[in-house]
Amino acid sequence: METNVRKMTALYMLVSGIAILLMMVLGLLMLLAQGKMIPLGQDTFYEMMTAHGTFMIGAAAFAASAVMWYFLRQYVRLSFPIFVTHFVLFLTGAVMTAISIFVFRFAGAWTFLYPLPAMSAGMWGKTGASLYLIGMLLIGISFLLLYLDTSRAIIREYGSLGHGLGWPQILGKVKGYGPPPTVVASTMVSIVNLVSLTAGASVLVMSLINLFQPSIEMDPLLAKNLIYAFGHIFANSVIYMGVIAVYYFIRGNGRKIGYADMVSFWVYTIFLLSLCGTFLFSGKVSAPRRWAVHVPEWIPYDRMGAMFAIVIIVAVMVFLYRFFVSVITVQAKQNIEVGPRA
Amino acid sequence: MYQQAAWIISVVLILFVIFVFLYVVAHSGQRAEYESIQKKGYRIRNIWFLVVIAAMGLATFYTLRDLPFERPAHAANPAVVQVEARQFGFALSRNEFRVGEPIAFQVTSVDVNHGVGIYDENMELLAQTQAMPKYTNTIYYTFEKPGTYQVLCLEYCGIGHHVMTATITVVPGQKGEGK
Repeated sequence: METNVRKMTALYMLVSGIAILLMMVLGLLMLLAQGKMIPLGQDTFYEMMTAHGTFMIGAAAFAASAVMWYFLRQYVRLSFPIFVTHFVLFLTGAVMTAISIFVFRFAGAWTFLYPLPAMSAGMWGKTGASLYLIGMLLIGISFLLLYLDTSRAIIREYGSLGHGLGWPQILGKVKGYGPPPTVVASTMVSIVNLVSLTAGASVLVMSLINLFQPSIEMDPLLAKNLIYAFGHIFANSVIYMGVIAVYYFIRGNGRKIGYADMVSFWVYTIFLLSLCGTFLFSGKVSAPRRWAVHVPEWIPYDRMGAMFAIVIIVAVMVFLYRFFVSVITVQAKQNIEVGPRA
Repeated sequence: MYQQAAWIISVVLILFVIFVFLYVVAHSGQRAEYESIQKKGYRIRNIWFLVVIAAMGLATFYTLRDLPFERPAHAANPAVVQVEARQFGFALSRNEFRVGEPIAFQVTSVDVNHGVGIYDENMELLAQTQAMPKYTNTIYYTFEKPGTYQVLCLEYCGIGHHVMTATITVVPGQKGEGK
């Protein structure tokens, strides 16, 4: 069992690592296009933008959910079949959305803002829109299943979600240590994402109905609020899931990492902050990020961002390569020690 | 002015968070008795909570009043302009104004969601609102300088999102109005 858990978690990391690297490349291409350094058709730009928005958050959340699941498992009883189901459903949904974008040219952005999926001004049709919306729905359901299981397990172990958050300690009713940071973070993420994913799934279903039955309309403001409540809460939750690993390593756990990892980590951190700085600054000079073509005033920040992005991609490639090698080495060692079928 | 303020405040707070993070990483090897730290930490947390609530409350109260969504007291009878957004362009019922003339832009959309952002000649955003189907959102604005202004779409609306622009011309006002 323990071997299966480790294998599955490693698989999560590899899949999301590769997806994130690919999306970084798309991000770089978009910056280069905005900076007028490469030609990119506007339709290709918006398709890439849709893929980038969807899969950056999707893959980051996918990896982070595995981190959360792996560490939470040390405190509560989680279901391994649900962990596997999450993986399979997510990948199915991801493949569907990728097909909708790159085969059926859906470019409605991750925001799929009602009624844009149904009104593409001729760029994509019903097939592309419905594949995207159904793919997103499957991804949402895969996460929903996982958080239902984590909530169930936390309530069983700690009595309630409030106890999982350590509220008795916060309110001063109970003295001393609260639940471990992993449990507090997981409880918080489970609560907010059960809400955000339900909001997202509702508006996805309503959009699908509208796509095939245009006479059934919804309120555009309600749709927008549901979509942004879903997207922003969900994207934020990645931080809290990721923090679980940070707590683990900050307390001196984990094995010593090599020189190459250390260098790529710091290069990544510094250049990522710099890239975020260029985004922040282009916001200050009022540049709309989601424009395929930029006016001369905004171009210097796009070019600067593109340079930072290249360095980030190199650092991530080093990271991923080292991770691949270490997983394969561990795998090979296990096979030698206990045999491949153990 | 708000863009400048937001930029400076963001950078200062980001640097503060980075400092806190590095401080924690650098001191994470130390071990100490939990109870006294917990007591001190909770006290800092309570004070921090009140400070943040007060600061954010005051900032929200004073900056919300400057948003262009409420009719300012001095603009009793603004010129009403209909702005209709569609894939991929804007139709303005009027696009020439005088300096100092209070204007109410009544914004809506005939198809998908769009944004209406008014930009000055330096491509700096002055005011914006959403153009939504079935809704009319109003921005109140008074131009202070003559010149050519741009309207840009600020909500992704499809393949022609970036070509969705319109032009506004502002001419010097009559005597006693602006410069």
